[in-house]
Amino acid sequence: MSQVKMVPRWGKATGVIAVIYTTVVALVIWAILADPRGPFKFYTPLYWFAIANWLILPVLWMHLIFEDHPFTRFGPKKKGALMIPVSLFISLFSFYVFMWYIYGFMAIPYFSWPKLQSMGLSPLVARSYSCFGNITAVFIGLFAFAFWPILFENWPWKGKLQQPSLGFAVFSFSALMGVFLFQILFQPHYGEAFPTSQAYAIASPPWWQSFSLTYHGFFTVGWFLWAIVYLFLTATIWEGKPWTAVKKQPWRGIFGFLGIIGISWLTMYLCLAIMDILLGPGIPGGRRAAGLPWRYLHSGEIAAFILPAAVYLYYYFNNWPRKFSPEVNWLIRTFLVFLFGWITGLVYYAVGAAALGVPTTWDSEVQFPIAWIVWWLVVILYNAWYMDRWPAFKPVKP
Amino acid sequence: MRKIISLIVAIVVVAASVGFIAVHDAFTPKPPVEKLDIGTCDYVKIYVLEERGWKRLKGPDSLIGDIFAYGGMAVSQYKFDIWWEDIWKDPSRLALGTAFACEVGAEGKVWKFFFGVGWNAPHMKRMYKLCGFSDDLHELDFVAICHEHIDHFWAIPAVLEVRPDIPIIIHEGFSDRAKAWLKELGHTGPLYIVPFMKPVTRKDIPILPPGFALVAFPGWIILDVYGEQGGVFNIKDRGLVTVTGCCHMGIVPLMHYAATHFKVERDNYYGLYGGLHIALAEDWSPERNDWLIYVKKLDLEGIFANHCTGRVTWRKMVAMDMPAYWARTGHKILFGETIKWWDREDNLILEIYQSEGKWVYKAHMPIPEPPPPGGW
Repeated sequence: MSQVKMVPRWGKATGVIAVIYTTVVALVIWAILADPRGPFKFYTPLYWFAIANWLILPVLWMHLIFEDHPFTRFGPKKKGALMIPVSLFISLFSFYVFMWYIYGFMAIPYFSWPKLQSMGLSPLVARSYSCFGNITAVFIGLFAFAFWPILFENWPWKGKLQQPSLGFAVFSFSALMGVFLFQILFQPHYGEAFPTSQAYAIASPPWWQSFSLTYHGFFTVGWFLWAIVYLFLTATIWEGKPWTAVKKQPWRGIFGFLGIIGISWLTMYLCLAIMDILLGPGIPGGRRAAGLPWRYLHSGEIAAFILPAAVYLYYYFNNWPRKFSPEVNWLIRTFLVFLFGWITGLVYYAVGAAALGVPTTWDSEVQFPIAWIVWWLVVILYNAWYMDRWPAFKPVKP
Repeated sequence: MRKIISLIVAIVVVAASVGFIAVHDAFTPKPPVEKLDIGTCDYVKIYVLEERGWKRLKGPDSLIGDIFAYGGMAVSQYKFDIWWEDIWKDPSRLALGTAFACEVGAEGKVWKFFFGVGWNAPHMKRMYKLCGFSDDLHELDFVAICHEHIDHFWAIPAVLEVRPDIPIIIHEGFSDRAKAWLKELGHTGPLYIVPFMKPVTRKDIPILPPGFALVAFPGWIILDVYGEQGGVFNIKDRGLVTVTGCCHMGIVPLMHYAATHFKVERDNYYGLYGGLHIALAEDWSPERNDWLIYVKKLDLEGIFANHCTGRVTWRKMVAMDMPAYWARTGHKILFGETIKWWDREDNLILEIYQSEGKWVYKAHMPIPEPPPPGGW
């Protein structure tokens, strides 16, 4: 992590100004690259979704796992100027070279647009398949590469290894866990994703079908995004609670891991129950808002709306409030991020069509608010982690 | 003490959540107890005016190729200037169309109407004639447009050229641009607008036949088009038949809506005709397995799909032992006391009838397979 101490530049207005400038930067770049009305139209929607996802994963690698090594000695401007290009390079290399031309070509075609196209799929369909493959892979990565540093606090290497050795140890272990998680949680989806079922050699038929009443991997999205959100709430506004009730590792990590999985499933089923009340019961075999896959996806989307509020509160508003007991602080912060997550969702659907060029309605087949949320988080985390919140915060001499 | 209170609060929150999930069904909206009586009709005969939509699906100068080149599924169809030009070109670069006609018999009278009109106007005029309609389309009572997509709506000049006075039925999701275009084309007849999720029958629009309802579903669909309406027939002594252009709302929700909102003969799902929008690009996705499982559970007597249903879907339905057939351009299907299917030359292909309480499928010639995507 950075060795430079940072303080708010504009007093109490600092947080609000940071929200404004990070959002404006995200909007401007979105208008150029992603907006379907703009010059590049990368929001197809999945192409931009995949790019944004790949932009965020190396941020976890560089900041959470390698703890900004070897850039910690630099001030925020220089650190940002070095880390952002490196991060961008890793993202683009991972997506366009590794996933498309190495892993996709030699192992799993649905990660690679050119490979699928070379196998006879049209460019449009090949792009959609491969982008969804990459999106789900990064979803797994967002949990797999974060849960060991956050919940297990890099046990058992912490204090015994220095960076970059510590980072390589955690990275390798997390990558291994990620592969297992992907094979269990998403690979069954891909076994049924092509005209011919590939259940025998490639993937077991979706194990969740019998109780979720869908073959689609959106079932996994429905609870797994909540797991990602609860993991990052743990790392930020929750300050490790409630899992710190267990004192020793690895038991604290195990408690946190199982607890997060449990409350994620619970939250997903709460979301589904609320959707049943607001939209009418979901119809097995239905589609769009009436269908179950849509409802699972939107459970995940509700989760995603929570994250920017949590990151802003923790990094730009000094994790307010701090004056009450830890439990009361925890409750107020949790309430606030859910409230602002809900407001974020309302604003997205109210102005998304005009501001982002996304569909006008919430139940469109090409409405993916997570694409915007992830991109917004990329900009926020580039600023918060790589640039140590500069210019909202300024360095002070120790 | 604080830890104990926290633990108690956590247990209460989890228990309340589980309890809410367990009992939430009591708070969900229920369909109306009193079902709508739309009457019955004796039969509906479908004329497949055109089902191919476009000449090529993939590759250069194709539907998927154009969508890819213009920025993807989220871009408005009105941005595709080459598609707009393709309305009038003869021969067209890409456009064909998707449309069918319905002939409905009830109370000793006959109604005829188009459901969708196609895309390329010169081509569609030929197809109307090939299917037995006159040059001036005088036999039509009205035209219903299922949704605003290119291949269903954009050949409307072919109709208005000879019948500017014809009643047109759209739904409330049609854009202002579409409505303005109808005026520019000189439409002088009534324009009926079906509201979303409020079925209309002849009580609302008197020109509709008995035993028929239009149901419009909201929802933004690809290429910046909003909503689709489907047709529902209640065939005397037989049951429910749905007809759809693309069925973006999903065939299971449409059937489910009809069965829970309308009085249906014998409470039976009898048949369906039209595009089911399952695998337009001949691709697949896991949730489509869900759809087919539940279509099979409807236990329909005859499934006559085409257009955006996708060949891959048709093959899967056949493999799942469903009575699924591909209704090609020029074919006719009768849903009455029996179901009959004729080819373009009026040769009887298949008869489905009830004998001793069982449904009999009698093929009079080899069952035709679908043409290749975009193929003739």
